[in-house]
Amino acid sequence: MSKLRSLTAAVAAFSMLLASCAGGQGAASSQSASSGSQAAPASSAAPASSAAPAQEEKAAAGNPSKTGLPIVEETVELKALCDKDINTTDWSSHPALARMEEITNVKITWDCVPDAGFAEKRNLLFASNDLPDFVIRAKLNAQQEMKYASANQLMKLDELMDYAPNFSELTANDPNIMKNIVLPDGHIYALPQLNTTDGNLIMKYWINKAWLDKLNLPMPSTTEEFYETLKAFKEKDPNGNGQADEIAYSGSAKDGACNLFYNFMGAWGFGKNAPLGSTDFPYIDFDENGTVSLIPLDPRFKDMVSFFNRLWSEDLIDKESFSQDRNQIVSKLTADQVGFVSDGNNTQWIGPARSNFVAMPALTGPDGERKWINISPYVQTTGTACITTSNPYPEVTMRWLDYFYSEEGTVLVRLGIEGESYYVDDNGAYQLFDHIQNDPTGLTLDQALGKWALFCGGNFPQNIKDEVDKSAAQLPETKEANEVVRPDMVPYNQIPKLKFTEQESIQLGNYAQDLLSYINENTVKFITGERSMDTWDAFTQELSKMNVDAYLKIYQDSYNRWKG
Amino acid sequence: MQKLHRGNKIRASGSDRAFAGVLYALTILFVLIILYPLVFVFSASISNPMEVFAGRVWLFPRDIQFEAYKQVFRNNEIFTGYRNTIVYTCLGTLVSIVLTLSAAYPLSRKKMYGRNIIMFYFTFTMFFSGGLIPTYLVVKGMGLYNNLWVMILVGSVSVYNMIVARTFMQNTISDELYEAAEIDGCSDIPAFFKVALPLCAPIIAVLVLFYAVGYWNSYFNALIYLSDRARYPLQLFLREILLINMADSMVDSMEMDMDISKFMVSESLKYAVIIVSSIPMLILYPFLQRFFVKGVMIGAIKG
Repeated sequence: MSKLRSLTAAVAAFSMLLASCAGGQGAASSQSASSGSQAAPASSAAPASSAAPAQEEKAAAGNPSKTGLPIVEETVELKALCDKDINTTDWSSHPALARMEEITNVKITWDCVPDAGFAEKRNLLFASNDLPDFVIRAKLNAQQEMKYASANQLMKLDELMDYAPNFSELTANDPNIMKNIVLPDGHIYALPQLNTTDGNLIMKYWINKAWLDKLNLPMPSTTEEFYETLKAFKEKDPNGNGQADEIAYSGSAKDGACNLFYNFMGAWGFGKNAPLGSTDFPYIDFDENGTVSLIPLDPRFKDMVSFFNRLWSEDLIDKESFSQDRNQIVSKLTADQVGFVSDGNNTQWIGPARSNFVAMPALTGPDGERKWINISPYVQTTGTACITTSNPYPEVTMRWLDYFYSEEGTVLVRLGIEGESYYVDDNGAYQLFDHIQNDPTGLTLDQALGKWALFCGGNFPQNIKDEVDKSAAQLPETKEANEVVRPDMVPYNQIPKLKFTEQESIQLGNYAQDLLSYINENTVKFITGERSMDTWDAFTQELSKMNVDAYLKIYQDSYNRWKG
Repeated sequence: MQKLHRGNKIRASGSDRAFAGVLYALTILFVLIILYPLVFVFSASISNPMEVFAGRVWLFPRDIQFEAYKQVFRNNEIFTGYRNTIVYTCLGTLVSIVLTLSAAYPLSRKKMYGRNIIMFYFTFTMFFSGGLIPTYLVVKGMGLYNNLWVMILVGSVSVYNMIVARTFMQNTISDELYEAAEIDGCSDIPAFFKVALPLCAPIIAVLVLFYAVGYWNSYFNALIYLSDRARYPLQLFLREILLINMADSMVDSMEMDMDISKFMVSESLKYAVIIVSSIPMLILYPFLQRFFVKGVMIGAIKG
């Protein structure tokens, strides 16, 4: 990957020069390929000043209607790149997309790349400027979005909002959406996945209720009580097999040390104003006034790390936590060896042992702090779909993508096709057929539904609401669990999705890596006792020498922009 | 050294036997190191996945079941992949052998004009290449994108293999032989077919093995240059299956009443797929091995 990246940098300029001619040809040929004999010029927007009502603007290919279906009267052809989840059928022969073609009159040739190689393929196409018309399930992070946008490879979608009736309505009702997708230059280049289902957005602690009951222990409510509970789990043989094989707390933190303790940070007062999420955690916090600080330099962080060091040294944390994946935890859970896990928004992943596990409320820390910070904002994923500048029909494409934000569009994405994979029951609710839920050939639900629907793996421009969601987020026990944490939850609209300018991205690339790996490595060493807590001051002193101010300034600027 | 030699003539001395003992021990160690993963993968593929997770399978299978194999062969794409890979491997190996030998033969002849310069030109590509993006643009420009031939033509000549073949020809076929052929009225091209080629059987076997394994295992070209799933080689489907795991499928999942055993099967599926995909190469090897050892040896000793 790093090879690929350096190559990209080295030849980008040269290859763009080369490929710009090729790109032009591509646009021209796909235009002539479209059946419209009087095709409109490639880049011309539909005349907004035209007196004719929107519905009558369907005439020429590439001149889409602003509302209603089909999008165009004469078939328009586009070529697109997509990331294919393992559970979804090939997009070229997918019934949901065949249905889309039928109702929209837009014919799409898919370059359908398996998830495993998608990032490489997408990066290559952008680096060589051999662009598809649009990319869906694009998995662009904010930096990539910014980079491709400044290379003039992505359309400004905010200028196409006239052709996104569903999405515009959503953003008009919730200004928070725009806030989280707009890039520092004030434009939007990619569409998000929206989600308003609590069950999907709120992560939880899961504690073994069967063990609590057996040992006659109360539900812990403070970090100290939590420690006592884990200790009892470890020592009092709650699984009753006579062996000390219990693991009080098992976790999977191989992708980032913070996964072990992120959910606990609220108990030490971190993240209560603007939590940044545990993925690529920047160790950044904001106070009530929105002033940035670096978490490891805060004495409360030392306190928290020593708490975890105590758990570790008393063998209350799974010693494999920094190396194992979730599947290994599941096998331990199934063997009734685990008392507490801190992962997932519902208990389904826990497997057969899940009936033993219930949600545990947020814990009160030593200073009386108590907040639950591991939640996703309504803008669940950004960078899920983008339109490239080589697209001859951006308005048509925008209409096509926008369809998925309507309720029937999201239903098509998530539940597939009426009469095949789902039906509407007497109460007007969507229901999956039994042959999908319990596939006779032994497929999982995702695999069975992947033949009809497109949702697998997420990262799709859609608007998930409770009505169209059939996932475990809707189970009564998940909803019950949401209520356990809800009183202490940070409000959704306080969760920022920070964006950086190109300049800031480059600077972050320089500072952040050294800084974060130094923090990560040492945090792990402190927790596991490899480094003595006595040397904490030396750690923070060393840390202060590492461009902290410049690093913090970037986050401060970015946060200020977000806050507006 | 002297002492060793004298001892050898009569019977092995103590130090010789110790030396042989160490050699045997090391050989056995290496065999075990190579064999263990093979045995483990096989055992894991037919064991109950829960046992694999729990770390109770370390050599022999436990709680034998064939669920993973059933799943592999239920997936039609595996057969598509098999078919494509066999086509790519056969056709690709043929093309590679033809190209490699037709470069190696002239370069092995001492009377070839400008031999060193051409050789340098070849060798240069071993150290410097255009890189991924220019290669991609060339492939695209030549209309090879998403074309069967991209799997065969891109990287069809390995300079290393070409040098092996050239060295072999240089060393086993003496100039006198070519002279004798020439006196009998044989020019350069017939000399290749009538003199050089029959003598090259061992090196051809080596090249077949090198190239066939290369084509069989290649996935990166397919990943970058193919877009049609019906053209994907086995390794791409294999890669997809290998990268399934529960954590990923949790990203956006509809699973309501998740049956953990189905996910667990996917874990032993990985091992089953490894077995299924490497069996053909394992079968090919013993047939070629005879030539393989001989070929490498001849090239090596006389070089």
